[in-house]
Amino acid sequence: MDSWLKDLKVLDASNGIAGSFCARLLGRCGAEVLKVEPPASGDPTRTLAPFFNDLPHNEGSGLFLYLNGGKRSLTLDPTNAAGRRIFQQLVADADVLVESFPPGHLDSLGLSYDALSATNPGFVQISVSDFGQWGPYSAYQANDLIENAVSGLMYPTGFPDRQPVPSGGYLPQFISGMAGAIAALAALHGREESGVGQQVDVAMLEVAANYLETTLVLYTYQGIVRGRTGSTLSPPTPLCDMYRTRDGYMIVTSLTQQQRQSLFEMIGHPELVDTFESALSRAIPEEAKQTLWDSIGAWLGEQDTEEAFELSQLLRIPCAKVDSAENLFNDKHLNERGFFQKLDHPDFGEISLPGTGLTVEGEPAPPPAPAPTLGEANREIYQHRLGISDREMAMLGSGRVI
Amino acid sequence: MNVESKNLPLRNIRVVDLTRYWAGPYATQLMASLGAEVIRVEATVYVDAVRYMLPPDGIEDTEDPHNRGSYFHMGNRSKNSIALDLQTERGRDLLLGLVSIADVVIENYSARVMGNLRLEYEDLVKVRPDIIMMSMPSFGKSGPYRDYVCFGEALEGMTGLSHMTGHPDGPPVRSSGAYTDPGSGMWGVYAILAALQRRQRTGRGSRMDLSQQEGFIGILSDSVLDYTMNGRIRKRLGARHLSRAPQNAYRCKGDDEWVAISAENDRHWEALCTAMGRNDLLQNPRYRHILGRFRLQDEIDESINAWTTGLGAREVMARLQASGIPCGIVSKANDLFEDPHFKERNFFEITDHPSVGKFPHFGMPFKMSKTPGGSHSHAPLYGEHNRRVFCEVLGLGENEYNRLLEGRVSAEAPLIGD
Repeated sequence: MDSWLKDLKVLDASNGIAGSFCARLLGRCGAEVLKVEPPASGDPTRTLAPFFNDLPHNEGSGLFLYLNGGKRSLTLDPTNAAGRRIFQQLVADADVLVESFPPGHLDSLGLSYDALSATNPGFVQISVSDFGQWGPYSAYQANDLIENAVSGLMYPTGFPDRQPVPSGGYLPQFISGMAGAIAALAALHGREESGVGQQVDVAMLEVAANYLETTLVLYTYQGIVRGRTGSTLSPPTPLCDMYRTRDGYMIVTSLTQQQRQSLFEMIGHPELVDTFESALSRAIPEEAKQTLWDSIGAWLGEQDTEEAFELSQLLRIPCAKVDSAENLFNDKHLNERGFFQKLDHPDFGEISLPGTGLTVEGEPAPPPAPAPTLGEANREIYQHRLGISDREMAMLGSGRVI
Repeated sequence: MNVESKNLPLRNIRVVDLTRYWAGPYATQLMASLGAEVIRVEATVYVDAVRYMLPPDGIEDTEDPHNRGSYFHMGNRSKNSIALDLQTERGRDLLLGLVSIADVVIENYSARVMGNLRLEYEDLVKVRPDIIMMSMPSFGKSGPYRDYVCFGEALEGMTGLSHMTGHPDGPPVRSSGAYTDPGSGMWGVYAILAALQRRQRTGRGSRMDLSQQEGFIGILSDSVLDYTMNGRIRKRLGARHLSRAPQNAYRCKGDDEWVAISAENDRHWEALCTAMGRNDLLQNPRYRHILGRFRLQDEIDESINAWTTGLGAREVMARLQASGIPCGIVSKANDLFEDPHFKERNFFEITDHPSVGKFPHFGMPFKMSKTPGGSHSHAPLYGEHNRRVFCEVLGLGENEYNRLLEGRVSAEAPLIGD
C-alpha cells in the first residue's frame, strides 16, 4: 500500500489532529508529505500528551509521532510577503494541500483556492475546520468537546441523572481526518477524467453528525428524542447492555432468536426465551425486562470476563469485552495479528504504535516511521528544490519566515 | 438532494455491495453519494434485518414491512437493490456475471461466509482479474477471534472506546451509536479509493480486508499510546479534559438542557470570567494559573453552573462565542433540525421514499466545491432494480427473469424459508 501514491505530492499545512491524520493517511499510501509548520513552535499537536517518559518535549509527543510519521517538516509563516511567495511555490508543485487555518484566513492572505489553482488546475485543497468554511458558526471556536456537543453525539451519552459526556478520545478529529483523505482520493479520481481539482470543505461538525446512527431516525420517524440510558440500548436492538463481571465489564447483545436462545441457555435460564419472544413484537413489559437484566447480570457477575467472552462466542452470541488500553496491548488476538508495530525512535527508544487494521494481500503493512523534527527538511527543500541561497535562508530565518 | 450523478467523481465506478447492517452500507452509501453505481445484492430469505428496523409506524399492518425500516433508509440511499440467492448455482453465476463488469466488491459478513459461498477473491479474479475486493469482518481474517460474531453496539467495547467513556467515579459507558460502524465504513472507502489509484497506475486489482476492531483502535490512539509509552491506563474523564480546565457540560434553563464550555487557556478563562460578570473569579489568585484551575475545577464548575442555569443554552453559546470561547449547545435530536448552521449549510438531505414518504437524513461528511455529491434517490425498495440489473445490465430476457423468480433464485419480496 505504501507505493500506491508514490508520484503524489501532498503539502500538509494543517495544525492539529484532523488535518495531520488526513495527510498521514495519504502518506501511508506512498504520497510525499511535506508538513509546513509555524516557525519556532511548530504544529500545536507537538504539545499534546502522551509524551515519552511523561516529559513534555517538542519532539516527544507520541500523538504527534503517530499523526506525522514519515512526513518531512518545513517551517514557514505564510502571513508575510516572503513566506507567501514560498507557500505559492510549494503549492505550485503539489497535488494536494491539506490546511486547517481559520476559515477565510488563506483568502485574506491572497492564497484562496482560485489563486492557488490558477497555475495548477488539477490542484486539490482539503480545508478542515470545526464548523466549515461558511455558515453562521464558521468563525466559532471549538474543540473535540464542542463538536461532540453540537453534533448531537453527546446528549444521549451517559446516565439520565448526570450530565451528558462525550465519547473518549479525539473522535471528531480523527474521523474528520479520514473524511478528508477520502475526499482527497475521490477528487483525485475525478480529476483523471475532468482534469480539474477542487476545494473540499471538511467540517468536523458534519463528519461527527455522520455518526449519529439511529438518533436521527428515532426522532424523525418515531418522534423519540433519544436520551441518556447508560449503556442500555433503547431501540432498535432488543437486547444490548453492559454488565459487570467478576473482574471487569462485558457488553451483551443479541439480534436473532437463535442468539437469544443461546444466551438464555448460557446463563441457565432457558425459560426466558418464551417471555421474550412472545413479547417481542410489542413493547416488552418493564417487569420482564428487569427479570431479564437481573438474570444476565447475576450470571455474569460470577464469571471472569475472558472466560465468559470465550464461552459466549463459542455459542455464537455476539458479546464483547470492555477492554482498557492495557487489555488491548496484551490481547492474544491483536498480538497474533501483529497489530502493534514497534518503532525504534532515534532519540527516545522503542515505542509500540497501533496499526490501521487494513491488510492488503501480497503487501506487508507499511512500517511505522518516526515523525520529523521541526524544520528538518528546510535545507533540502528550500535550497535544493526551490533554489533558495544560503544567504536568503539566513535572512528568512532571522526574519522568522522559516 | 436531486444530485446529478453524471458529473460526480466516482461516476465510472460500479460496486457490487454484499454488505448488511451499518458498517458496510455506510461505506457504499458514501461511494454512491460520490457517484458510484452501487448494486446491493440482497438475500432472498434472510434479508438484512435493518430493513425492518424502526419503521415510522407499527409493522404489523403494513404490506411491505421490509421496505419501511428507517435504519435501512438512512444507510442505503442512492443504491440499487436486487434480490439474489447466492447459495444457488444460478445465483452464484449471476453474481459472477455482475462481478465481471464491476470495479469493486465489498462485503461485511463474518470471516467464513464468502468461502462457504465459493465467492472468495480467487473465484472473483477468474471473471475480473483487476477486481478490488474489500472484506470487513469485525475482527479481521486471521487470529483467534477471526470467526467471532459481533455488532458495532458491542464491538466498541473491544476498541477501548467504552472504557474511556463515562464518569471518573462510574462504570464504562457505551456510546450513543455504533461508532465503529461508520468508522469502519470510512476505513473501507479510504482503502478502496487508494486501491483505485493503484489500479489506475498499475492495472492491478487488490484484495483487502479490514479488522473493524483494529481500525477503530487506530483512531483512539492517544490513550493506547499512553499505555504503550508510559504504562498508564487512563481514567475516564466525564466531559472534562486531561489538560484543559474548566471544561464540562453545564446545566441550562429548561428540561435537561446543557451547554458545553471549554476554557483551553488563560485568554479563554479571562474572557469567560468577564462574560459571566465574575470579576472575583478573575481576581482569585488560586485560579490564575491553569494548574490551579485544573485542581479546583469542582468549585469553578459550581460557579459556572450557577451562571448557566438561569440562561438558555443557545444564549450561553452566542454570548461566549462572541468572546471567543469554545462553547456549544448539547444538541438533542430535535435541536439539530432547528440549528441555524446545519440549516444554512443544507446538511440534511430529504429523500422521498415510496413506502413512507419524505424524511430528512444526515448528509455528506464533506462538501466538494465542484461535485458536491449527496443522495440522488431514496433507499431502494426490496428488489426494486431486479429488472434493470438482470435484464438491462446482464441481458436476461423476460422469460429468464421470470424463471429466476419461479426458481426462488430472485424475488420481488422476501421469501419465507423452506
